[in-house]
Amino acid sequence: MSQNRLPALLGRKLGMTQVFAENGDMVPVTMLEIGPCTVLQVKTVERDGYAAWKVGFGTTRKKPTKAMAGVFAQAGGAAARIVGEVPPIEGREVKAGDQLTVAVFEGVARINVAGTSKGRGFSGTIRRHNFSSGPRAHGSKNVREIGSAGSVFNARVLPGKPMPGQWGNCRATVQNLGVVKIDPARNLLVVRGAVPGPPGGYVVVQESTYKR
Amino acid sequence: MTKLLISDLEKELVRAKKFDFDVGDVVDVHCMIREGDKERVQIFSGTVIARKRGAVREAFTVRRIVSGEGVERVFPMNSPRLVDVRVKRRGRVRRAKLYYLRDRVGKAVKVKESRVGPKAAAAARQPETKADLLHGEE
Repeated sequence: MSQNRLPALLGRKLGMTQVFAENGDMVPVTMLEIGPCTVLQVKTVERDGYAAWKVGFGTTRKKPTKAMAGVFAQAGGAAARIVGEVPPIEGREVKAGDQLTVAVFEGVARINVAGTSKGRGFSGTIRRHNFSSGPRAHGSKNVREIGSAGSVFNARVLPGKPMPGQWGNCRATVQNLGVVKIDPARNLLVVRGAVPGPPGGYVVVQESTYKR
Repeated sequence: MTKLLISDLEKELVRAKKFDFDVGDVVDVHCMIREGDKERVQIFSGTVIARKRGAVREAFTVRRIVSGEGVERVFPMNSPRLVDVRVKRRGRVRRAKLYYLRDRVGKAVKVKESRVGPKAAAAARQPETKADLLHGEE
């Protein structure tokens, strides 16, 4: 779900490259294919308790569930690869079946991008939390151990203690990325910096609340 | 609609004017630099020791000896600050990266001169092999 009520849209990460600014500076950028997103359902405060647009992005050959098939049917039929809810854009009326393009971000300077970070499996604290390794010689045996788990006073391990575990393959958001270019004709959004997930990974883009 | 691919998008960003040089050549690199609010072209001359491909990310490394000290500069091929690359001498080399020059001093740093450019050399080689292939098929 969205973090704020500003315009948001679904898309796909294409990959990273670099572009040159007018003054010749090299800018590291991520290219994103954003939209077109089909509006599948318009949720209203009266009927659903909150206002939102349910949108779909991409195509799939997978047969949707009967419940989702009904939603897709209302919007024209084709099943979408990913479905999400975005806040309604102020001053814009839509109905099921309408298309939203990257043009909704026209004039936006900063955006947040949420995606699924690259999965790194079950990782130890050295890789996952940047711990130091212990001494390897002189009979030491705590080479990659986590060290102390906390003080004896608490008689328990405090919540949030960095430990080994699953790293990545979870939702991650990068906030306040600068928009370098918007190309509605090709559904292209170019942002400065890196975005979570692998090339081809699905992302949610939203206008950032930061104003700078 | 055609599928958007990062490799295609990168190709669009490549500069229109290509510079005809290759690894081993001695070149003058004309580079725009800023001094206060004035801009002028600075020339860096040396041997091209590496060329790293990658569409818009392409870059090349130029090495020279400045008062006994080796100096290397990496130029992004598609930077608008890169004004011109002029070949002063063609070099004949047998590998793509001339990192071995870093271990050499004095006379040994010199790369053998080639009478023909890289394109001419490639053109001279190409028809022969292609003709042979055709004959093989017939």
